[in-house]
Amino acid sequence: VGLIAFPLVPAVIGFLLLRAATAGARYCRHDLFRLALGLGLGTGLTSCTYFCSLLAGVNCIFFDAILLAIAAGLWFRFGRSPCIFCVGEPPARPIERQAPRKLLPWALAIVSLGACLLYLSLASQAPHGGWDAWSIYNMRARFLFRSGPAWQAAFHAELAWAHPDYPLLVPGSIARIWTYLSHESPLAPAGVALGFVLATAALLVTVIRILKDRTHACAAGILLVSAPFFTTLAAWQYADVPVAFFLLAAVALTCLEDRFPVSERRLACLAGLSAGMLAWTKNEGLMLMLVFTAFRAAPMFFGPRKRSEVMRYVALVTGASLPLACVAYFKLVLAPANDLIAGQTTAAALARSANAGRYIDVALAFANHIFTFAGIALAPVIVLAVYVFCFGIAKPLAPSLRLAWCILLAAITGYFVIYIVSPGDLTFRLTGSIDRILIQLWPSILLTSILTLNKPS
Amino acid sequence: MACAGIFYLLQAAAAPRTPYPPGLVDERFGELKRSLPKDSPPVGYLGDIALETNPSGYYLTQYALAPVVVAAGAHRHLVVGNFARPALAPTLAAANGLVVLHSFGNGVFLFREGK
Repeated sequence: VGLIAFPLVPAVIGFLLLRAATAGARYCRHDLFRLALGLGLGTGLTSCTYFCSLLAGVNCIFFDAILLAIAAGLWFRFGRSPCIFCVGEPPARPIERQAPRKLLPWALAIVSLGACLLYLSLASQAPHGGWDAWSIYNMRARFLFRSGPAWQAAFHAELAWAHPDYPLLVPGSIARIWTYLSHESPLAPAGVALGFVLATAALLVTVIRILKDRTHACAAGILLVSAPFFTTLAAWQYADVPVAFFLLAAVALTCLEDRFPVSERRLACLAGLSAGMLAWTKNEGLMLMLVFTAFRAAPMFFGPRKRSEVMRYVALVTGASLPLACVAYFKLVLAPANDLIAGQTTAAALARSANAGRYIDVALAFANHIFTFAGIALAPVIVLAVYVFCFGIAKPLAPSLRLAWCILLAAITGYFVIYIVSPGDLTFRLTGSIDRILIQLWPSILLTSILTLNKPS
Repeated sequence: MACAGIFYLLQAAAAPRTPYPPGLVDERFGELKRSLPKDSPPVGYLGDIALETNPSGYYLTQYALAPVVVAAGAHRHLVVGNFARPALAPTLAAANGLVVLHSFGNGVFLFREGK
């Protein structure tokens, strides 16, 4: 029953939606991409329907069945033509079969095995997750599962220290599995965390495989998976890995839209869904969602195909509507005020933003941690820079890549501004969060960097 | 990069671990949790470690007792006690106007207002 609750039902729902968006024959070699993206999106969707089931006072299995029926209907209607990735794909070049290029998949496999060992070691030592996991997400899941009709006790004023204003994707996913099981198991949060870390790595590799080639895909996978802090955050069951997944998914789908215009509106709809899930995962995801949707609106005003861009944006907003409706209801009706906003006055924020020392502190912290956040002495960001230097940058950049870089730069700027104006001890806040924030952005930076490269491998 | 990655991943996997309190707290508070109804109004909290110094004991108590809300402070009709040194419990309870309702062992108590 646990395996049906997760990962089977979310993965099938997400996979069918991906098949509806990108089509495909019975067996397609791009199905790993659909499975990776589908698992994350399906998990997000089922957490939204779990929230709806709490509001309606109905068992979540009923809503899951409706979601499954909708996904199957969309697949039946749209998904049975040839795969858009396979159609028109050039045949594999002979150069890809040379011996050095065969080493990279093996290297990726060995590093992935090491990461799995680390995950298992950490997860067995801390089955309830790290501090933030048990005190915020898993505790909220306990409230949702144990309270019955009184589940809104999870947002009681006495629990202000546990950030009751954080959105419910992770706790909802955990409580949903416990509802299927009819009992609590620490395997549920560990399974959700493992699902997201595997899905993030697989999505990065498979989307670069589609948009570039296998060698670059393996190189990007090694750069992501060899960062011990990425696996550690997953084993601690923090929500930063799901945020990284949904940001990567939104950026990847934006790039796929450009390359496969035949399905651009369906892919835009899924990009919107991914962006909405960012806001449903964490408060900083709300900022990332706003940045993403704002930049995605730009081509409507400045692009050459304004009408087509408007239709794409409508599809994007449609995709985001379910998670955003959940976020809006949660934030407006249930959640108390955010501690960063409630503890803020305009005068104090202005005073902090006029303090040059804070800018220097935050800039220095970013400059230091960009080399250390991965938890490995050979900083992946340096390896990536050398990699990009060797291959050069494509000119001109595709519009979707320009958009992706703008989104990532705006996201970093957004985090910078939040650090500047937020109340409390700045040093404490920086040391406690900057590495996690860089991990949120790292898979998307890897994807965008590799796609920016000039030459084939 | 792959070699460095595998070295660091294995090194991190083999690193010594510190004790893990959330794994123990469910067992320790299990009997108290069963004695409190799910729809109980918020209960208070009293411990021998000041919350300002180290609130982790209070947070873990709340984690174990969810969905009952545990309020910081002893000004409630029912108060949960979490003591590393159980011998201090009666003295601290009396100082806060509480009487011991039940001792569950392992430094876990349930107090009520003394009036």
